[in-house]
Amino acid sequence: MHRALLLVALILVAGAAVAQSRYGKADRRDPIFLRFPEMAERYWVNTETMAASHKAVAVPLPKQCAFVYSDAYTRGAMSEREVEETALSNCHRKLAELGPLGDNYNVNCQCRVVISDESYVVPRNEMPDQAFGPVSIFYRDDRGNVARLSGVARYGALIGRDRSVTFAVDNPRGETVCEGTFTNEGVNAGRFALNCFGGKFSGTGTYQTKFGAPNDHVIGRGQTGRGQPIVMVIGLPSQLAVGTYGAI
Amino acid sequence: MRGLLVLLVLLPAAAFAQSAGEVERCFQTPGACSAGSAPAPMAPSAAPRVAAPQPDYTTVLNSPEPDRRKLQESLRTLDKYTGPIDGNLQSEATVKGIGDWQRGHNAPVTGKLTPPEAVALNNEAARTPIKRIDPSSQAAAPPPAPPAATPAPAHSNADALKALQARLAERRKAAEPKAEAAARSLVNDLKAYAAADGKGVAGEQFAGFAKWYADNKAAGRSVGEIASVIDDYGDAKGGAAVTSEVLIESKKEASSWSHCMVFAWIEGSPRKNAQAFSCDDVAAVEKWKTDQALRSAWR
Repeated sequence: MHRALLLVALILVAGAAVAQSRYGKADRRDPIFLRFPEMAERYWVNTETMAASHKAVAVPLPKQCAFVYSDAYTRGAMSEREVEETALSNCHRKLAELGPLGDNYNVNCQCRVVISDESYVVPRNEMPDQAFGPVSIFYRDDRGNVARLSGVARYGALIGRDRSVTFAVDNPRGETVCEGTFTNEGVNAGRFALNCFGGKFSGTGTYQTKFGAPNDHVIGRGQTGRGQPIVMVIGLPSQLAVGTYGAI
Repeated sequence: MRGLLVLLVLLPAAAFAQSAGEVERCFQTPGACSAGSAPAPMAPSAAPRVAAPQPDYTTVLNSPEPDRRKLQESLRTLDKYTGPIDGNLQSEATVKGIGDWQRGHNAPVTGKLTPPEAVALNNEAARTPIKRIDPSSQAAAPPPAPPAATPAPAHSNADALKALQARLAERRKAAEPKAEAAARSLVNDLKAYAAADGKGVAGEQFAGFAKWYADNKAAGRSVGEIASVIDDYGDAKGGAAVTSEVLIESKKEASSWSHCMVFAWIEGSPRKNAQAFSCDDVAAVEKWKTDQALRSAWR
């Protein structure tokens, strides 16, 4: 009798554990897929990958860190766990390749598997609900001194795809310091406007979205109202942005 | 004297916006810089509206539940909302969705709707076509259909699918000789590399393969059979792109192992943008294709 009760209790506990590990079905229109359309294509459309018996997505968390992703799909006889490990390992590799994030973030960005086989495996409120990316702003004043500002940009739509995208820049302490807009005028290119510290520092210019290595990013070049140059990079950690575009 | 005083007061403000040091300091401590400043010009919603009458938000919030659900559905149709359709217009996700929609219409971003806004939102959603996945968009653009002399009769979806499949098969057949020649050439280079004990173009072009070969050599294994299957082929921005799945056998005494790699390159002499992937890393292979803007003639 006791053994039977123990068995029932074990089954209930195991069932609860399984239930706790899933947080609802993923949907093609979820923010994570809108943020990374290439991945959405592979996850939901591409016949080579969408029909895989196991598939997984890993992104760095907390949510403001989710500017890179890794998706993995079954090849051969890979188990669900192996696919998840592949996604996780590729996510770690990408973060390592991009270099340190400490100038932009004051949180520890860690890769985690977030979707496995079309179900969320982290609570939905931990998932990014808008787009985030490390941002660097370079500004040269009229004396030749260069300001290098690093923080996190957040925006609600895809820069370069949606007609007009508003964005905000938070400093590493999480305080919103700048706001701005990207206005799409062509294929992944257009104009931007930036406004910081309640209008005390602002500029406008043109931007271009760049795809591929080391990471998809947006590069904006413009000037302040007084003609001093500004460069803004979204999507690359500070040190990489300085190395690539810092020579303002 | 008074003029000098005014100048002294104005100078720091004028200097502020131009000094790199001040900009950095303000970025770190924005509170010290924005206090008392004018509202940001790019945030018109934050501007004071002294004379404006209070907008009516209660009507929509207190509207019948079906109407509130309808608004959530409209937001979802417009990709502004992904939460449940529960009629709760004050949930965090719904407020955010309404705010996003308002932002896109240069309206005050309040997260709440006035009756005219609710009507406009529903009307906009009603005009938005339902997005469906177009299977033909997965493949490269099919060759244009010959102009019809007379109006074509209406075809069923099954007919259209058959016609599409026939076009895809025809295109693949046309691509097969070049794709197979490219894959054969790769296999020859891989075999030559193994025969030359780790020397040759295959190793120079495919670093991943060279590493695999070196690891096997260090483990005392030799290379056996090499077989390839074309994974994809088509035009890319740099020329004809090939991805080929290659199974390579390695042997040591009576034991043998097989290793699967996907070789991807742009045709040329030498091959361009060449990369070798693990067969498990499907995402990376697909990303390579996207980066090369590959328009498949194979799938």
